[in-house]
Amino acid sequence: MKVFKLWLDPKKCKGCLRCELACSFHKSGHKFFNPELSSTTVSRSNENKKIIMKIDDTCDFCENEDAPLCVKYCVFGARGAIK
Amino acid sequence: MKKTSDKHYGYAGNILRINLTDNKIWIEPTEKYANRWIGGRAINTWILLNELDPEVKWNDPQNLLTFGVGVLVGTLAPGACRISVDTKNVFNDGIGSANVGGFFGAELKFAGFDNIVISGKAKNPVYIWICNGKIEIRNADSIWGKTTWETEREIRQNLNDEKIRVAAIGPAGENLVKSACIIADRGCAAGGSGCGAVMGSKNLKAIAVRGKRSIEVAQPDRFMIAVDKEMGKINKWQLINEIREKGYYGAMGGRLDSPSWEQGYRPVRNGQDEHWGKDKIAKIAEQEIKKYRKATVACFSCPISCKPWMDIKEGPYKVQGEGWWNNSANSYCTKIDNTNLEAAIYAHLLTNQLGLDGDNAAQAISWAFECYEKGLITKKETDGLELVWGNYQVMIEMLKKLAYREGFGDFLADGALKAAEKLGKNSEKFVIHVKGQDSLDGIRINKGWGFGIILSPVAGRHLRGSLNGFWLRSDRPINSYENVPEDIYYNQKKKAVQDMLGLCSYVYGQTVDDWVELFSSATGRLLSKDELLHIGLQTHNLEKAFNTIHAGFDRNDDYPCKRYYNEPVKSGPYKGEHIDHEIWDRMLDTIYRLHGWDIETGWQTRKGLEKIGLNDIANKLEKENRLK
Repeated sequence: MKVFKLWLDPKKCKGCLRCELACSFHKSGHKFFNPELSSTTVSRSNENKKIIMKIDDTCDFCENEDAPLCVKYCVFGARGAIK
Repeated sequence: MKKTSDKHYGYAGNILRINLTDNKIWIEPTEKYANRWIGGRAINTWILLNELDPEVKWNDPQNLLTFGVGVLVGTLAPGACRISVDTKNVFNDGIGSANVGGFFGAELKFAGFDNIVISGKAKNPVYIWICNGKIEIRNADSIWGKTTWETEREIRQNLNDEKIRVAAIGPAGENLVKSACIIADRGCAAGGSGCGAVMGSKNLKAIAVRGKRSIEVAQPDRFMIAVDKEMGKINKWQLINEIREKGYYGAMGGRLDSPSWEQGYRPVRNGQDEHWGKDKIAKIAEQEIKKYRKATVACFSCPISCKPWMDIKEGPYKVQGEGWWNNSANSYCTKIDNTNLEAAIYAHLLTNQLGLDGDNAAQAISWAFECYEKGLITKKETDGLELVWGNYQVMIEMLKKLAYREGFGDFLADGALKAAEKLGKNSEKFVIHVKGQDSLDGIRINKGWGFGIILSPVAGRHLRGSLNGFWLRSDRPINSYENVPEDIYYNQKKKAVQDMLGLCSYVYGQTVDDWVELFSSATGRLLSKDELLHIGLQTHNLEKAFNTIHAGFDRNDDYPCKRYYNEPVKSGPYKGEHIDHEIWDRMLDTIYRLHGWDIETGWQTRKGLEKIGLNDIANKLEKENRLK
């Protein structure tokens, strides 16, 4: 699936970081998990719950995957793909 | 155990050892223990049982404080975030064990460690800084005395990294209050057993962690199929959308029509009753709690998000933070007979800041309220406070006094049983405890709940084998004794496996078969369901042996407190329910037989232990003259 853009919705994000795990799984060639390598980052403030979501320019929109893995493994509807 | 590779997939690979007396730091390979004990709680317990002398008390420097991250933590396994914290229980010197979620455990694995074992005592307050395999023991003078929230904030600022995860004690742990817990990520409590007091006794304020390493799985594509299968079940769960919106309390236990209000989960007025009036329930149920719930938030790798973020915007109880559980409604509402919800939410978030375990702390306080009601204590002893049912201002004041051991708080700080010993006047008959530890639960109605709580080696914890949790939607009649020992025997094994793997109990639909698939594909170790459960059974027996050797427990310690026999439930649809002593005795006989333990003493037997491959534990018990 060719994806050209990802959208993010911090209001729906719960801060579980499954997107970061999924991204690192893709970037490692399906070998390991390491949020540090993720092209997308999520931070949740412990002061006020404010969520900040980002995607950097190392994102390849999950080339060669059926769908972007960060979208597939977000169960809260906080991100999606635009073809 | 068959392995597909010599590489330790799924693990960080290292166990960190620190002696705070001489600042000695060393590392062991996880493999030394993992081949036999898998991970998390089981590795911790094995180390405690083999390295602690029975003469060591909980606050001796020789006591060990262990943190064990589950094997699946750091991966996409749904709800894999849990750490087991194990040590000597401060209430009874038996096994202490607390389980906690959040983000700290995953970060520890990414920093290179599966477990931490801390011994000794620092001369002055310190905190441990673990950064990508590097360890520093740092001065904690500037954070000693501060709350857990302030501690996290200051450590992050000082080390200039907002991604640092912190597990800390608050003033309660520093002051060696027995109901002290360890708070991870500001809102997640390793509660019960007084783990926070053990940490305080070592002058250890906090552990801060940052990790950038990888967790590799053995068979990635097979692993992801297992993850997807679990996710499929979770997403089809009829309650999932409601839970994601409202959290567990709002969608389940705190609903006005939840069975939790009638089935004895919530003791009223220190356990005088197990039923609360509907008018009172309505003041703290979902339709009220939602006014203060800003959203729900999730732990690491959790697809449920059961935790509400509470926000009281103004007034004397202005506060915001993570958490309000089913337990909170017991501790800060029914037990004290309080219907002021803002005060109760504030109390919950206050205990997180002070580093108090709400379950233990509220029990000691509600015992004091009952003593006041009965005239056994007066304003003279309580520093002028009126401990009258429903007095939420006094409840909050007492939490503060408890954490700082101020005045009457100091009197309660070693737990209700110790306070009753000091007070006398037969006040011990109002203490709700299990094996000496203040207990959260009512058990007269729900027999599967109660038997699991009393039989838990960790002195009264309802997630260690109990049946009939209202979230389980069991068909079993709630007040039935039928098959309770048999089912709890199975659950004891199953929960031990769950804690080795680091999975959360609140993730829907998990089966042991699912765990076998996740575990095998993550680690490359080919274990069957029976083999995994067998290690769970062994783990339960390690804890039992620890209690026998270190606390001297026997059959007499497997009974509930007398109130639960002698004072039936006073109101509601289960009015008249109580524990039948004869049936309880028969249930004990049954579960001892299933375990291969001695019926008369409740001790383990050589025959029973050898049957499950614990010959070494039988030898250890024999050496202490505690084996049948």
